[in-house]
Amino acid sequence: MTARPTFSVSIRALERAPAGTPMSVSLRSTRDLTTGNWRTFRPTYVTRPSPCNLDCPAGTDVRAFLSLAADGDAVGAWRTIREHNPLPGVCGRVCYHPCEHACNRLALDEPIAVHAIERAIANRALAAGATAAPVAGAHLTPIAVVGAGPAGLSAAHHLARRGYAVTVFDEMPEPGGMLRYGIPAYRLPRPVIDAEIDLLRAVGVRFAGGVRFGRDMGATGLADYAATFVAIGAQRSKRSRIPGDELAGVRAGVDSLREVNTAGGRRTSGPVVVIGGGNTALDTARVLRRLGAEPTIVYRRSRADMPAHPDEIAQAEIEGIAFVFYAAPTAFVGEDGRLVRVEFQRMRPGAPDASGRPRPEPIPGSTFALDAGQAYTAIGEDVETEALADLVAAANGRLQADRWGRTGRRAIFAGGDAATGAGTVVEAIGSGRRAAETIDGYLHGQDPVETGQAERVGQSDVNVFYFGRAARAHPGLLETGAAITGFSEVVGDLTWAEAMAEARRCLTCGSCTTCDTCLVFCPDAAIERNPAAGGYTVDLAHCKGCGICVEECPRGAMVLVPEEQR
Amino acid sequence: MQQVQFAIPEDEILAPGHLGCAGCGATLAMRLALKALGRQTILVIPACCWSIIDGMSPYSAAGVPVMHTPFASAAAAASGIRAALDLKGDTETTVCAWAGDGGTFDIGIQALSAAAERNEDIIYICYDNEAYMNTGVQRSSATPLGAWTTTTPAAHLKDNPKKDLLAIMAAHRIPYVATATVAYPDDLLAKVARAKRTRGTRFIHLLSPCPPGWKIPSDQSIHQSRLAVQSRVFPLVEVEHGETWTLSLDPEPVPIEDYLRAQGRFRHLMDDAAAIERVRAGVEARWRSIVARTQLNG
Repeated sequence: MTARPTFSVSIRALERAPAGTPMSVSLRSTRDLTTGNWRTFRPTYVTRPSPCNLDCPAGTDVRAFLSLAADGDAVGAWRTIREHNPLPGVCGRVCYHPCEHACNRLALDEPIAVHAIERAIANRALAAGATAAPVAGAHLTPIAVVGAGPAGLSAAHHLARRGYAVTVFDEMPEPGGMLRYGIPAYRLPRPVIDAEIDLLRAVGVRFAGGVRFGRDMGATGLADYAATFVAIGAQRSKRSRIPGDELAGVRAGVDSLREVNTAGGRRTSGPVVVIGGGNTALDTARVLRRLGAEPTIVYRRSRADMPAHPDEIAQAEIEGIAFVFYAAPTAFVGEDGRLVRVEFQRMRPGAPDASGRPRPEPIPGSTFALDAGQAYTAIGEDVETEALADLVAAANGRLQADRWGRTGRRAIFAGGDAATGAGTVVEAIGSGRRAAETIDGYLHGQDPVETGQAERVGQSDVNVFYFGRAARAHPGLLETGAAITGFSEVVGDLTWAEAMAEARRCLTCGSCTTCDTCLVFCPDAAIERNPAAGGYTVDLAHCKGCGICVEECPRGAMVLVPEEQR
Repeated sequence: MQQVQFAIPEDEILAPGHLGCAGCGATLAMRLALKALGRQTILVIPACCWSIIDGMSPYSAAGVPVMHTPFASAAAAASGIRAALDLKGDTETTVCAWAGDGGTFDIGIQALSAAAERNEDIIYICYDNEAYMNTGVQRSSATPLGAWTTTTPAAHLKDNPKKDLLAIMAAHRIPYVATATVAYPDDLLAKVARAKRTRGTRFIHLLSPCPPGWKIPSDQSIHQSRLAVQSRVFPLVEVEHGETWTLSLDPEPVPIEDYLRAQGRFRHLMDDAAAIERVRAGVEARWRSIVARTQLNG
């Protein structure tokens, strides 16, 4: 406190009153009384993890980049994302955004549209000419990355930033993996991938395309590298093992996507059946729709059980794709070696399985058939572990590696879908980052350190009274007629102004924003601004520990800690 | 990020080290009110919590001159100080009587009514914690229907509704009457500032949660103050000259049970549906009558 209380005119007059004036006057301030010794709990400012930060598999500091975006700093927000994730433009489009699932704004209205803001940040930062931060130190120690998908790209980014000379090998000519050869362009335009991969080249990452491990190079080819990160993904479609799957017209969805994404698709027509409920099934059906077919997706469980994102399912419906739930294929039926129809068994929900979802079971005697000249299976992809047999041990169809990417073999690390089986871009990015940290530690003789996770700020910790309701931003969709006749991006951009407004909806859970709520509501005038360090200090000589500041803090950035016994 | 915005003056007139209980609503009320009253203010405080809170001799927390008076005489003493200042030619100093609900609703109402009838140029702020709290929680005529106090124990709960002092003061047709509470500091400061700008008798009824008396944890004062407004138990209003009524806030209503449930003084009501219904009916009737009066404004 700077200003000491001054006494007003009448008190001073009393001080000048003649001795013996019959009135008691108190002239000392209670500031001299240390009421802080009444306290049993002490309020303390803390920074605690927000749900979005904890729930991002890539480890992105979502809260921080939203704050920067809210202030209009697109490049700062972009750099903050890239501290953990080199692919904000990609993730802003194709990430299934687990960061939004437990957003504390749900206590008030709807989660922040983090993915749409991330995309707007990437657009604006790249348009502003933002570049990758220069790397400190020379690129000396060579490291090999096998697989140029999101896990490999993420590992390459984090290793290059630490000064390593990274070479990324991939079977396909261009880097990107499933981003480029799996996900269709209407979800992820190719210039977005190219721009973010160019930023990796700018920090010295080399890409060697057309190199298949086990064919074009072997374990001996890795001898020159101080460490190798293997992230070959899961590329091979699971066989359906249904009678007739050798017929012409029966194909794997992931193979047809790879073909369309390399050679472009051929026009087609008529009814087609797509079997499965995940992203590959959705992508396959929507690509076929664009090529002129009339797809029906058949899934053996319910709509709610589909692993595909609900937004994707809704867009597919808008595009005229039909869905049949609770049906499993029993036979592909052909004439003259060509598929003419698919026969199905109707299913119903049974007892819960290991995933917690009801296990579908057949309804006896209930069958039907769909006429179709083409059928696509999209029931999951396997890892081609045999290609790496002399490099990494495999079990249950996956490369064996721990959370940190360690395979048990010196200098060999593995991650991404091939090791985790996770199947999402953002988890692959997180896996690649962890592996990069592990490799860096390994080359410095250090083991990875498990850091305990701090307690998240939950809905009961935020005080939503202080936040007005505000509708979540919804990017526009491309008009359906235009969407299904080409591969233009379906989901639109937020303008930068819209993205800033959406970012301002963020409650900034668990982090003080100097909003003054604690200062305003302190009955003891015991909270003071801290001009030197920012934020506030608690006047412990006077704070009685009532806890109002902690209770009222809008964003859970204060806690009460017990005072030690005196 | 979404910023919470307050327009609260920085000047801290109230000193820390005062003797208010942890989480005291009446102390926060004073701290905020002084920010609007300013340093050129004389407070007149009758017997009430605040005659303790301000500190024992030779200490004072208020940061402005405080005249302690007997229980019944806050408005009369304030009137006298005003007259003395006027005689000295001091028209700038604000005289503010600051009294609890006992010294206002019960013991001080005669002096208050007389001062208001004379339209004395004083501000009278009643910080209402709804019972005689510093003497150990005895009921006052501000204690709400159904509340526990030591003189209305659970076997004989208060069977009378809270006296409608807002209507009583409005009926004096003084220039300015308002209600305020600590959970809405911007509203509270705006009303005290408006009172300071107005001449004649100005009366503010200021609901001030009391953690020990209401049997709530000390960190719940603001929350309960907010719920009082949101549940319509304590409407925020302004009345000019007894005629023009304005609702300061028309909150999205929350169930009255939310307000009652968290307070120990109402806990026994929670398994008495008829009693809650009676409380609710009284609150709703008063809300409707206030809304009706706001609609009569020419």
